[in-house]
Amino acid sequence: MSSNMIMLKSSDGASFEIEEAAARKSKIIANMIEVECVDEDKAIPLQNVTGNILALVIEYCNKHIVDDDDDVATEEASEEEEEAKKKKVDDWEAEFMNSMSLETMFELLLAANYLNIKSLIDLVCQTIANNIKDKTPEEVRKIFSIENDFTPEEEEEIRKENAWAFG
Amino acid sequence: MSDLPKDMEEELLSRLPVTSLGEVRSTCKKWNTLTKGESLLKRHIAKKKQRKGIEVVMMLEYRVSLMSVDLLYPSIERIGNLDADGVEISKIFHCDGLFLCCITKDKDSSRLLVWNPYLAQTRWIELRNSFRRWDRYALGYDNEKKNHKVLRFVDDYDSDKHRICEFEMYSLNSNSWKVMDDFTLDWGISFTHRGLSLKGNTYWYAEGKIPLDSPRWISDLPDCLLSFDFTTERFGPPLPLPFHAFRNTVTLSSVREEQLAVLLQNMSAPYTVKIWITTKIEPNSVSWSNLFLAVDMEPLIGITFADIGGSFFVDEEKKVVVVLDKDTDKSWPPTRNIAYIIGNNGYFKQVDLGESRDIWCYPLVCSYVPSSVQLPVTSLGELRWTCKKWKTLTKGGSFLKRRIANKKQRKGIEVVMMLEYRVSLMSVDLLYPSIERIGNLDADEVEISKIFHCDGLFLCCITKDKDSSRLLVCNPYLAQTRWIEPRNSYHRWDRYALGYDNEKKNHKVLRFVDDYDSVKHRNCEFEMYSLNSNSWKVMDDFTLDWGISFTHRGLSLKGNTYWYAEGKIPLDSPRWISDLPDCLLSFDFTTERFGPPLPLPFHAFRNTVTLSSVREEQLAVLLQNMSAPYTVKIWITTKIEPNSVSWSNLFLAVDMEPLIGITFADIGGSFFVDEEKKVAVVLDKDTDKSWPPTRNIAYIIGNNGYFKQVDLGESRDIWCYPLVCSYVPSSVQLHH
Repeated sequence: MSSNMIMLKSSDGASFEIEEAAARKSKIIANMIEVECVDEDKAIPLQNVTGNILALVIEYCNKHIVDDDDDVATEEASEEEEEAKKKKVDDWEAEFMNSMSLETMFELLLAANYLNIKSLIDLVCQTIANNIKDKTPEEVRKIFSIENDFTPEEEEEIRKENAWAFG
Repeated sequence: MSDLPKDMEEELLSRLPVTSLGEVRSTCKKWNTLTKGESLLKRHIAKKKQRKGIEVVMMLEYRVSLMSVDLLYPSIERIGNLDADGVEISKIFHCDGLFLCCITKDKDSSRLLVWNPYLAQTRWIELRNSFRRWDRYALGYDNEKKNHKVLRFVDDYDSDKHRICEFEMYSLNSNSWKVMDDFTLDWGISFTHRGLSLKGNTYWYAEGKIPLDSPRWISDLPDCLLSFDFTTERFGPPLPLPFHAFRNTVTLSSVREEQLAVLLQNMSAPYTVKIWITTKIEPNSVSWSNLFLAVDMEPLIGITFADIGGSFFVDEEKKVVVVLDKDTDKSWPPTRNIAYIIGNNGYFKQVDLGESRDIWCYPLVCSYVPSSVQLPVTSLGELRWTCKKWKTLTKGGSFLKRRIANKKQRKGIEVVMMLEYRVSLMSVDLLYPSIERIGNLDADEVEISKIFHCDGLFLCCITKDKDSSRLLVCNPYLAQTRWIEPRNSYHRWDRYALGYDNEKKNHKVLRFVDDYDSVKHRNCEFEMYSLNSNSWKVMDDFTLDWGISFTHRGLSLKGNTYWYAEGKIPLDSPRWISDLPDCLLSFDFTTERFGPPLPLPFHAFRNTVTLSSVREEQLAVLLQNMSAPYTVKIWITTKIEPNSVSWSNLFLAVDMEPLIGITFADIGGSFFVDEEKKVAVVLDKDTDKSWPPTRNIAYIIGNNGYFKQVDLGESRDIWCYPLVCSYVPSSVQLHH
């Protein structure tokens, strides 16, 4: 086992081993490592993330381990290589998001927010947004379990009001 | 979703395209508010910069659309339409997320609309006199972005060589036009040269003015970039251009909302299109970069862009320019609108933008940045009077409910005033005291001498001379009126009241006189008119113990009317009376009887006493002594019914002597209160200055010496005292 492996523990008690570089994608964990409150033998407890969601987070982090800091190293790569690499990542992300339900996406978003992983927040938000952009208000309410707090008259008025929006 | 933090919710919603806003806002109240807010908008704009396609607004065949332009694999996609049925937009101007749209249906009628597509808000701009088809317009804002303005001007000679010159400025904040100085421009801005707004100011390509005595054939004129500074409200000095042109195609475009780009194409060979971009631009200085692009169009499309076409935008990074025009190279008349994408080394693509039906409607393109600048609707009347579609829409009951709900949230208080025999809807801002006329009741030249309000209906008395009176009920919300014919005839001294029965099923008008004439004959008539039956009935003689002075206007509240009344003077009383009892007298429109005398929180005798309604629920009474101390006192009821009343403690007491020195007139003093701000607005004339009074004034008075005056305009008739009524829109029909 490499020395820069750390342990994460989910709220329901599951433990995960992750490379420090991957774990650093989370600003929260990176901070913990910085201030040396990470005991190598003990797992970092993550109160707000369940095991199944944490597994997804780790999968994402592992895939994106070569990013940020490593960008400098790949600067020499040709434009085509860059583009090919980016396409590969895009394809993986599409596949990754495709495999989960909307409910899971919301949980993943909350976890990404809690762990402060900017790129994962972006990915999940954009995916959810793409999911709802062509939906009717009724469908959107269903997806988000939103209660319709408009009276029928009010709703009609909001729709009329938005005649002057780009629709 | 409910457990998603607000931050995440905004993050998510900000990623939706603007074209999904309508659906999102219809989802729930929270999202409706959220997507209209500043912080979500900021995120949205930040996201937009990362997106691939360029979003621009185009006007094609009198329709405005949001388009996404992909320059990599050239395509232009319509992603949203402004769907305002029947409105044909002939010109658009963009500034800071707002669009100024000119709607020209025929040569004589133009209308103007400001539109914020992000908030889906519009405001019709009412004309001062009339818009002309050849008006030049510009949209801008002052340097603190606090006030958006519209400049309108004409500066031409007509066919008889008469100068037509008008410069006017409309302010979005005040919703009004003001006439500006005659700028006597040395430069002429051709109608075909649309101005461009950048950081609040507008720029035009301008040519030297042609002297009146010049020969018909002119071979050259100087040219420049002319600016208008919306902060100082002046034209700037002529700014240099990187070329000299004469009768060539010259158009302007904005780059990143920061720099200005200019396109030039000669109307004769060589037909090279040249584009320059500024490196710095201010209303009084400009500097230009080297040529951004130069493309010979001859081998590409053979001809030139039309002088009224050539609307364009650039992509700095890709070093290409997209120019809109018609397919004039093929045949005449042109049949398609085309976007020509041109770049270096012969790069040339065409994207079809659809059929061209009108050869005079050249496609236009504007940049677009979402904005949260509010365009609150200032008056329904304004809408009603400008557009038929709105007319039907705004008459619906559901719209009304929403409007009443919205009204409560709005800042300005809407009241109805009668000034100089005219009735107007006014918006009162008590924070920065101002009173604005936002609509007039324009009842064909009739002069209204008295108004009574009840439940959104107004009873108007029209008294032309002492013998002829007429009575009119009107519902300004539905724009309906009904003349009430008298049973026999109306008298000048008739007392009137408007009310309804307790189920609001029948609105009624009470008319009565109960006086002695000069020869001590009793003159007594009580009549009731019903709106349902459209007829009068004679009522019992009530033989009232109380006298209601003609100057004491009644107040209707929840269907019943209340008056300040004094004890009747016995026929055999001495000429000089030193005191009389007083009370609040009610008339119950359900039982059709006067109520018992109700107590007042004061005793007055021959003082100024006026009534007002508070939230259409409580009654407020104003008292001012006609002798020192001239303290104005106001009380509000806590409960009011035709047979019982209870009063709160004193709402306000203000000594007027140090403020205006004198008292309000006994026939003046019409008022309303703002409970929250604890102020009262009292209308009167400027009797403190000189006699006769020359202005109508609203006096705003509050605690601790708070005192403001707002001028309500000229007072021409010393007998016409300004009146104010509350106003709630109503859908009660007056037509059968």
